[in-house]
Amino acid sequence: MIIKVRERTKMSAYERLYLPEVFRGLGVTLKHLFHNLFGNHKTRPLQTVRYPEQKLNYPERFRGQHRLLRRDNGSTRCVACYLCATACPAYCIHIVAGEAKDPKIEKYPTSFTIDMLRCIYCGLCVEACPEDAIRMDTGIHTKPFLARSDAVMGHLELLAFPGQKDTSLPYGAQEYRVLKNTEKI
Amino acid sequence: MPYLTIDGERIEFEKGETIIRAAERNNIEIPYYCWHPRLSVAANCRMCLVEVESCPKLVPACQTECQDGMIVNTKSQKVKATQQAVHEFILINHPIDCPICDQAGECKLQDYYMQWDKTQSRMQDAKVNKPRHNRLGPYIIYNAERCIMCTLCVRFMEEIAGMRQLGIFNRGDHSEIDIFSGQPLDHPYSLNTVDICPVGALTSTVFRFKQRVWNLKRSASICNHCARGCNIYIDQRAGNIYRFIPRENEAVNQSWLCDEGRLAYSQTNQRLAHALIKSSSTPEPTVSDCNKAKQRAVDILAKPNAVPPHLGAMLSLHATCEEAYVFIRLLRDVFGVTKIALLEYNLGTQDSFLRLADKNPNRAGIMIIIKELGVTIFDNNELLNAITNNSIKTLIVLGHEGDNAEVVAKTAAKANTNIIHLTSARGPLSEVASVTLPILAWPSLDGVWVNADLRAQCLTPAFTGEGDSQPSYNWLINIATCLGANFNLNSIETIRDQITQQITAFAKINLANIPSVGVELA
Repeated sequence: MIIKVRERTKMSAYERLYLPEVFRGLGVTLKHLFHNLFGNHKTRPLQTVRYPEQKLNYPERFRGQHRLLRRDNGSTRCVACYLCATACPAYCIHIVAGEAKDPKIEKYPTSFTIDMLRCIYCGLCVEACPEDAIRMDTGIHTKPFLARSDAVMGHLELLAFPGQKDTSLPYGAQEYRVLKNTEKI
Repeated sequence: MPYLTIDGERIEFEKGETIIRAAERNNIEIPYYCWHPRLSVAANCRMCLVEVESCPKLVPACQTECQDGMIVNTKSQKVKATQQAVHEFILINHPIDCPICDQAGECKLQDYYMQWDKTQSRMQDAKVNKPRHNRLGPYIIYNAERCIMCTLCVRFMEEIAGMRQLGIFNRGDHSEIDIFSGQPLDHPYSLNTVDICPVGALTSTVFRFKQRVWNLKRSASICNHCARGCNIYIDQRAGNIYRFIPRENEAVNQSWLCDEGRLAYSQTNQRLAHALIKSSSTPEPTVSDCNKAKQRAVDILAKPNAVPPHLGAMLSLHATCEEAYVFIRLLRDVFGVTKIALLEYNLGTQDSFLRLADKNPNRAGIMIIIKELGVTIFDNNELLNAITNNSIKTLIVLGHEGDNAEVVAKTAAKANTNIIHLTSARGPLSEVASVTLPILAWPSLDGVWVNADLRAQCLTPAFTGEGDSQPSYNWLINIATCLGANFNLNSIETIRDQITQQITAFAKINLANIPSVGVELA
């Protein structure tokens, strides 16, 4: 671990008097207040946005709510390789892998959850994914939650995002199957 | 002593030693796929080709015997180019499906590619497709596409297991490992083939897709499934054990492990975290505060009828020597109990290789302690009779591992016996016990087991216990203190000191510092 030791910048004698600086800060606040109330907004526009009627355009690479992608046949692209969960610095992705019926797919997530309250929207899961199965290109904010348990989004929610091809397809054209010892060899 | 020179290092060798062994002894890395120190040499992967001066071509280090005065170079340009070429050759048909491959993270192909190769493939043609999901036996699935034909598994079955259940079929890049028709790979040691497979061709159905290996923490331990005491690594994540992997010990299990022991890992994942209490108001065992439960146990033991012959004791043969010692000392010195019953597993399968019929990992150690502390053994039928005719009114049990737990539990339930149960998992006994105290399971314990060959081996804690669980001797010492007994065993160190002082078999052994290969009791 790298540790940087920095000297605190010393305050001048005037700053150490404390109160003058407090009033200077209040002065800045008051200046803004009077400008917003009575100032000329043509020359210096208001710094506020009347959200949600008025929205700012986000940049192209804005990382919003995650979505899981599907293959053309409707099955999840995710193969439960755990790379996103491994890359995640907030440990908010939890995956349980299962055996897929389709031997070409072999592995798929029987459960894929993202805890949105833990997520820090860093996009490392998207970087890590070798299958292009997860993206954060929906451009939408994560909705507010009333309960912590609501914040844990499962694969069904993550798959059913706008921009997804035909969300009516049932999750996973791969039925989960359990390998049995009695299975014929 | 004859000597050879590897990369400028002068190494003495014994006649017949191969270059790869001499290099390994001196920490010089020669990469290999198909070599195994305990199997015959196939020299088919060509990864260990090295340059020997005065030889026109490169030679395989795994097969070439050292000669006096030989000068070997393992790092030359020629060798590097060969290693790259070998990788390119192997990767012609090896699929890059690491995201779904169980071996990812412990795959030699991945490691060596990053270490020795790192070149792009020049292959234009499509890869050869082969069966990807061939079920060879009850525990093994084979993916022929990932197979690099090192034949380690074939040689293992032939030389170690002694049953030729695997063979190579077809030729060239169509060759694949398979079973002979109608003979599945069901040998009791079959899962070792998964361990030695350098790539993800053989996968274990038990571990398949359960967890990625880089999430697993590995710690050395001892297998609990029989009295052989095979050395293992426990691979766990957050207290969940996912698999056992054999750990090398020449004197016990070389580098193998039976399937039975391997599959026993999941039994330890059901652990008790809180004390349970049964009373007239709660006929079912209910979770309780641990201090309350301990007080309840103390109250039961303080009753006038909790003395021999009305007090019985039962000890699981899974307990470590330290646990057993404290248990027996407490009963002998505080209560005067001189007969102890054993909770044990019935005889199981035995073979000429590793598996022993005795399925109790610490029988030898506990027998030594019982004998030296002057306690006798209560026969199982004797105990059942004593419970039935109410001569035993209180029974204190340590551990749950045993086939006779159910019988004892049923008999005790009929006779209304008060049971105090110290256990790491719920079982038939904890369902009928008045008080159940949670103890640490064996993977969380620091302790000693003695195997059937009288080799003391140490358990190291793989993870901490959950909830209120503590080592059983902590509970016992605590209970003894509450009963007013002066029981000066207050830590694992003092317990170990006492054992070495009192038990002659352990006199010469430093229990706190047993080497990883164990130590033989004199």
